[in-house]
Amino acid sequence: MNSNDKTHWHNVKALFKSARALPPVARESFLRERCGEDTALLADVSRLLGAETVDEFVGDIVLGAARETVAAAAADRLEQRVGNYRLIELLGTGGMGHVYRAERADKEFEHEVAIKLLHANLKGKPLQTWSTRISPGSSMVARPTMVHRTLPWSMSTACQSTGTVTSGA
Amino acid sequence: MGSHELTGLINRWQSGDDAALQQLMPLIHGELQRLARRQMRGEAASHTLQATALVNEAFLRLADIKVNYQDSRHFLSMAAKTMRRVLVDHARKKKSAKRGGNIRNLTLDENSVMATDAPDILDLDDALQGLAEVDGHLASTVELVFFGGLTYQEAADVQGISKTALFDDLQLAKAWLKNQMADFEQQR
Repeated sequence: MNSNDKTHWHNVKALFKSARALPPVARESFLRERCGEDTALLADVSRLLGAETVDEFVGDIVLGAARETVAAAAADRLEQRVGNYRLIELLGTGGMGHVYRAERADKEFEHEVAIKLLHANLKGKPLQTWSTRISPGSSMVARPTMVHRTLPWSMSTACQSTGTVTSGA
Repeated sequence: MGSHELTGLINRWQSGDDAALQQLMPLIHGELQRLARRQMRGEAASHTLQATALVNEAFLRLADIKVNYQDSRHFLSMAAKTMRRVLVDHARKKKSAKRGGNIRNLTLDENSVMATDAPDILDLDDALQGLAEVDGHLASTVELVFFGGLTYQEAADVQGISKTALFDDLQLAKAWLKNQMADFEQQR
């Protein structure tokens, strides 16, 4: 930006702010007086005042994109295979990764497990930290917070605890 | 978390102290989680979990950036930039996946025209880059509030201005961005 442009932008900014402080009906005459011969200045400030908006279009665009990104990050993993298991549902998300419900992919026998995968960017390789049988009709699926809470524990503790959750369900 | 504590840890980590990173991770994670919850404010509780996933990605990218964090203000700016990059990268990836599909996508129907006309995150990103060339201060204000999820007061503190001045800046920035995106649409 050259120095003329800089001065121009500086004036646009100042006039936009002064004009906004006035009631809308008083703005046009105020701007005409202050801009004088500078029609480019008048045009730019007027257009900005006209575009001024109470709707949160910037926030809405960001929020929409955040929702899409987050949903896609979780869905990316679904239907992927980890060993002999296929991930079928995201149960919960913790500080370091996601927990999925998974089933035997080869249909050799029916077996559902919970698999925790470290977040994809943490070295990019899945780490199966623990798994345990989920009995049919278990309400574990509906209680991701229970799963989440067992995660930082040691493997044996996690299995024990999950067993309690499952049988108590 | 005191900003002094954070700054000290970040400096130790930057000079190669891995133990500092171990201490740093939960701190940074907590900080970003707070940002993301705000980002999703007004949403149902279930979105908090999703926000966490978003934040994980943001933090991991942030941890990869080897810059000398001067203080937590700088950190908040980096977090907001990181959030912006995560969202824009995802949208780009999605767009190129769609394009890579097949050539029949070139056929326009009413739905696809409507879909491309609505300004999306990529348009916003382009417009914001344009704003940064005209006025870097305004562009970083937008980044802090909308991508970083900071409150007006927090953003004003980071920018070193009053809350009223920040609000004025945001009004101008939003009007400028709206015009810029309208111009993009004209050019298409």
